[in-house]
Amino acid sequence: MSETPANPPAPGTPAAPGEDRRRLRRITLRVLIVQALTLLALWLLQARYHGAP
Amino acid sequence: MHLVNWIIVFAYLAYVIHDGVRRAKGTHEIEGYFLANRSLPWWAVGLSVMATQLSAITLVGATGQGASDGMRFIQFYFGLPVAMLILGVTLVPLLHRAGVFTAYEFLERRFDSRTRTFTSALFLLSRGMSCGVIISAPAVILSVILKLSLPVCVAIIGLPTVLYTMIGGVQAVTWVDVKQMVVIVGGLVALLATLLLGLPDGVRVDDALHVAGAVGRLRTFDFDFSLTETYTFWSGLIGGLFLMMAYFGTDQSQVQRYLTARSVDEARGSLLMSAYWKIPLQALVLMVGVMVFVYYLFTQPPLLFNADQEARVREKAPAEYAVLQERYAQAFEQRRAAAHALAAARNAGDEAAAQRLAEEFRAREQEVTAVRNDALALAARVTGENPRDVNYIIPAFVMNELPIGLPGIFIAAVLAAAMSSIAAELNSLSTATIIDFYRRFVKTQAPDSHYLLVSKLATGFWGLFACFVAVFAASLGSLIEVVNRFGSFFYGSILGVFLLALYRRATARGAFYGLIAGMSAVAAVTFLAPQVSFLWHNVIGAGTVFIVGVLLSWIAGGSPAAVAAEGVAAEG
Repeated sequence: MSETPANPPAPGTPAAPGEDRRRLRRITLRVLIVQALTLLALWLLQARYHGAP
Repeated sequence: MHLVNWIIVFAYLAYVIHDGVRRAKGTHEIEGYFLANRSLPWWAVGLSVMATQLSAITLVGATGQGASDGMRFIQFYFGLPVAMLILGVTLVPLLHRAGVFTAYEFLERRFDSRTRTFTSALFLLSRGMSCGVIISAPAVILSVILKLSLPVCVAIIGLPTVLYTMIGGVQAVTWVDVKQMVVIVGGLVALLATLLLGLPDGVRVDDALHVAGAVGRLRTFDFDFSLTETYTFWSGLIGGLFLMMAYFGTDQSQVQRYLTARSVDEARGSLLMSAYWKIPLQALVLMVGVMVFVYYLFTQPPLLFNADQEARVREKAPAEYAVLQERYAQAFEQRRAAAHALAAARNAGDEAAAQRLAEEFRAREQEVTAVRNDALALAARVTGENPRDVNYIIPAFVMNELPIGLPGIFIAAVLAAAMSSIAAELNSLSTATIIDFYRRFVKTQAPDSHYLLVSKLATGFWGLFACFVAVFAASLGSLIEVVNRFGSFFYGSILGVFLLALYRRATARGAFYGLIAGMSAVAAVTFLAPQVSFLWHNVIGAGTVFIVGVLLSWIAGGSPAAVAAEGVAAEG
């Protein structure tokens, strides 16, 4: 779950811009995939059990 | 309540106070008291962020909502993960690197002093009030269970929280939150497991869900685009996105959580915990409610869940109430038979019979609902109060139906949810009071020990103020909406100012008058078009501030905002 590296840099040490961008892209992708899967699970729950007109 | 339950509740309270107070050892200056010297790990901060958001209102109101209205409330949170992503890229690094105590302090660096003062004052006003509402929810439960007066119950919840927050500061708030999240999730899981294990013979979990689904309790998505409906996919995704961005990005009660993280990455990681887990957690909360609904299909529930109101109705309109009870008993029996028949048909794999029996079950459910509505109308007429029965469904179930021990765990979970939210809010109210006002306008030069002392006193003051508000908040409308309404009146506009801060050419004048325009727009919509859902107020407020702020910055110019914060803006 952690988005932080095992050995985080000292507080206040900014990451290199390129590295930061790549990490943010990875995080974004991961969050969007997890959200899509969560919504899919809820959708399947509704599709299987929701029966009201 | 059984002695064992009492022991669980008091053991929990004693542990929380002990654990919170012992954190005072590390807080000898205000940097430690308010920001834990920016030393906390992402996972503790992340749990604290979640515990702060998950109040007792969520546990009591949302589980009740799950029982009465089903899963669709979950759509309210659909914008949250995206909000966390946007904040992780924009405001989180900006605020964390600025080294500020409050989010509003950043606005002074970026714009000017009056914008800081104004936004911080709005925060104090809205959060001071909503903190009272958050105390009142569990106080209402306790007053029903213990048959004590509301002020006494408010004191039982509020005073221990004030005590450990006042003494231990943000360290106490965060580390107690971590344990409280464990208690909350543990309580919910125990409740759900008990409900699933307690299904009647011949009714499997799959059948139970089909029965609940037959009357709409498992409808999760509503794709209708409506400005007046709060719980739709689009309201949740768009309105919820703005609400969550405002809450997590500009509300000091949340901003202060991640300002305590060791680094920007850890602050970002703490918010991502909510991005991953908030919707599943909320699904768990609502599913508990849905399963309580299923439970009451096979065991007759009280006609009115609010025991206090039921007693008054029984006393003042005995004949009318007796007639309703008789109708209710008949309608319930017919619904129970229909539910059993539907479950049996599904169990046997007879699709045609299941469809026919689902129709029958829906008709019986409508009859039960009709009698309940008549009873609620009678209660409102007799007592002159809104029954707010939905908030009593889960407490009544827990106290009347669960075996010894579980009521104690559930009450501990409700207390944990309440205390974690209250503690974070008291801590942030105190921070804003001292950093944004006292240290700027009252005593600008003083030793750290002085500021530490007044910070503790400010925490105590806000705690007592919130307890006072709590006594009156209980007589307001639906608890969930009350809290969100308080926030959404100001939230969107304050978010607009922070969004404006990301725009390099925005000026202080643009920000200030944009803020006024945003709040005016929300006020106009609130009064002229009250049917518009409060979730959209955030979009309207933020959008107005941003547009007016940008236009004013272009047209009127003014001292380039940048003057104050070129470096800060450049980081965004």
